Amino acid sequence: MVSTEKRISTSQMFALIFILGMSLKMMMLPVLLLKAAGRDSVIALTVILLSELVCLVAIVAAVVLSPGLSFPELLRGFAGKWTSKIVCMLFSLFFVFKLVLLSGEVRIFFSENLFDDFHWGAYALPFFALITVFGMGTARALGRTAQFLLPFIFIATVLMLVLIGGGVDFTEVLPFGEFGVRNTLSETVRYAMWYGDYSALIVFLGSVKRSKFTVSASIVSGAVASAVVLFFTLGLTASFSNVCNVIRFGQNVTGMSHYALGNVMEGRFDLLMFCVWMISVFVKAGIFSYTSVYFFRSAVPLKAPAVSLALGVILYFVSMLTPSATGLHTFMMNVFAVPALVLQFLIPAFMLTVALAGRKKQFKRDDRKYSVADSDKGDGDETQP
Amino acid sequence: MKRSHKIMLYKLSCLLFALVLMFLPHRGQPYSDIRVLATVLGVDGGEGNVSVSAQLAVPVAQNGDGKASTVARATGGSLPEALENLEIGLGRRIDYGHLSTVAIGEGALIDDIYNYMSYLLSSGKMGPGAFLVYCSKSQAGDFIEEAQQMGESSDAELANFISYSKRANHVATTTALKFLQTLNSSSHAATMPCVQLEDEDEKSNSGSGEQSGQSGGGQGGSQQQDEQSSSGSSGQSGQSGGGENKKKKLVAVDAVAAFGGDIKAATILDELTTRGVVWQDPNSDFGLVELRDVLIDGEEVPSVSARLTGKKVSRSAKIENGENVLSYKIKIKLRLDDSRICGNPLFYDKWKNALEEEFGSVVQSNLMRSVEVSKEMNLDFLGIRESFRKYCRKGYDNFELSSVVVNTDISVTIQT
Repeated sequence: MVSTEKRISTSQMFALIFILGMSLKMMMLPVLLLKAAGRDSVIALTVILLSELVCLVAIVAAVVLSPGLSFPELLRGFAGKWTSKIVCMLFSLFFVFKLVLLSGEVRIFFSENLFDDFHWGAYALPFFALITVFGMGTARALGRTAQFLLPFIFIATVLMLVLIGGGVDFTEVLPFGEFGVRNTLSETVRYAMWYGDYSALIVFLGSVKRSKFTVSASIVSGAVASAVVLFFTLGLTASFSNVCNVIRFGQNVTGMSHYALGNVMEGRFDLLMFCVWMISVFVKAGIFSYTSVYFFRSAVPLKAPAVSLALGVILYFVSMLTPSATGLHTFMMNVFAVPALVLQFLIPAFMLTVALAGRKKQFKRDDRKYSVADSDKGDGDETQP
Repeated sequence: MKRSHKIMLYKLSCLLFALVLMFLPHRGQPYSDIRVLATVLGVDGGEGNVSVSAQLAVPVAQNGDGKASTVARATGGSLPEALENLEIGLGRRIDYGHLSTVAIGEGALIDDIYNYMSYLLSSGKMGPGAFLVYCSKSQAGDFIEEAQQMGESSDAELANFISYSKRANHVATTTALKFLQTLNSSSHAATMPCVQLEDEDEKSNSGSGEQSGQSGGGQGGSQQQDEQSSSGSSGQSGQSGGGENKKKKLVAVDAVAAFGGDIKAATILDELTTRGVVWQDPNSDFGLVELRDVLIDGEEVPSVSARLTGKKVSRSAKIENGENVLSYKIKIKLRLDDSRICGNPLFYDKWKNALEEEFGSVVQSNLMRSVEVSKEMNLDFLGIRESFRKYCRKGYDNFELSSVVVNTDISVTIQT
């Protein structure tokens, strides 16, 4: 049972869902889809966002229905010790690869948008140090960090929305349907590693202080995050609709805002906003790091600092050895498309299943306890004079 | 690890990260001190012999004569080579992050322009919001150099001039991305505003010649020859040419160059057609518009100028009676500049409606003129075909520019 002081509040859950729902998807996915499916990338992303919201509903239901136990505890009770260890190790690996992808996206962002001569080796050090610290932290620490940073991220996001919304001709997203439904859906599957991030909420199973607003706040947060992502995708598609060959990977949102703002002589306020927004990506990296360490420790009982440090060091060297962003993208598309797609639906289904099974067990246990108590009470009554 | 140690480690990581972000870009890069910023880039010639000119913002301390900007030129077999030669010639790396305007020289062909823009955007040298202008009477290099000399005697900057036009004038402007996007659309045509430096006398003469045939009025731009210090609202900026006594004017946007179709070179549209292009452009929604020699209720008014405070343009495409019909709905809000008219007690009863109608008819005639020219040239610079692609697929499949019926619904409101 997760102790009460280690649980996250509803508002922290709201912040975590908002960050998970928005950051990595907005970084690169719209550009990749635009290059692959043209204007129909909007349809592809709508399908992705809807499927994510369905997953979120299942996750929130699992969180609300869980009997206050963590996922590894519930899984152990449901499927046995060794199955639980294997599943946890698998999940840990999955989130490690998500982290690799995210670090690649961060690298592209800095090298394409901010600095011409960018030394990733230098920047990767603090980045991986940060995720190491997140990895050795607690769920509550993550929740509080997200809660503290949410206002800054939210304001930056709103300002970016305003900047882009005022300058982009949204009619340029039309016409839809030229790429074909089948092709669009197959492209959607290829980029499965880039979405389905709500599955990281699995570590918060049993760790949420439930209130009457937990369900509504979580769904609203997910819906708002999805709306933001969709808006940016619409803006990007409208800006680069039939010239997507000229857009660079890292210049998605900034390119769009640059286009919307027009005059660079008056400064790049959008870049400042985007840098503030980037905090959400760091928090998301922290969530992935924590999730990887959490599942690894559930499979192999080691101390969090050791696992976290090892993860940070390994990822640093992996990212240094990764030759290019496109190489990383190709690897993630070719190797992880199907596993990621399966896992992103499997994890919420798993969560809901084990939560319901655990809840059923708890009810049975409670029933037995009450019936024993009743019989004890009955026996006691009989003995009373 | 103790909790206090964890917190300390966390704080140290954050501090390290902040320090790297703050100091590395400036201190960690050996080239940062010898960079110059390009604000305007001119491109002349075609593939095989490309000439580039860049207006560069140079740190004053590095430049002996105290100039804040200079112009550098280079040539090469291709645009990348020419830009590389520019840096080699300067001995400095050029930062294009603040590139605000790209000028294309007279005679440039559409394929070359397309390649240049695609390269500049995809290489990340130029942002998608950079403005494009066409030097209708000179090479871009000469134009930038003259504009630079002009700027030395005043604070006028070419980049500022164009960006001011975009923000505050009712003129045609286009960005690199918009140009490529329009050219890549099903209409396969795009426009670019023309700029040129003219001797003041030359402009006055040609201007008055053009105006004599225009009854009904027009808008800011070449009409206001006398207003030298009108802070750019007239679409031109009068300055003394550097070193010469001749007065030069930076003249912009009273004409646009249309590209596309079968014609490889630019086609310069006349002033009335240009106005039509501007009216249907939803992005040009500020600036001065003017009516001249207008007859209102039997009274001849020599000039009525109004400031555009808002414009909404919507298009709809449909098939009516077997014909492709494109409808423009344009809502314009104007505020009269002349307080004498506003202060007249008869204004509301007599003049307001008449002025609104007059402005509306001018807009309509300008727009219809553009449509006619587009049909005559068989060059869809208004993007009519693309409108059908977006809103009426059936019409798009059977599209013929010459047979499209264009309707307009112009609504002008004069605010006081």
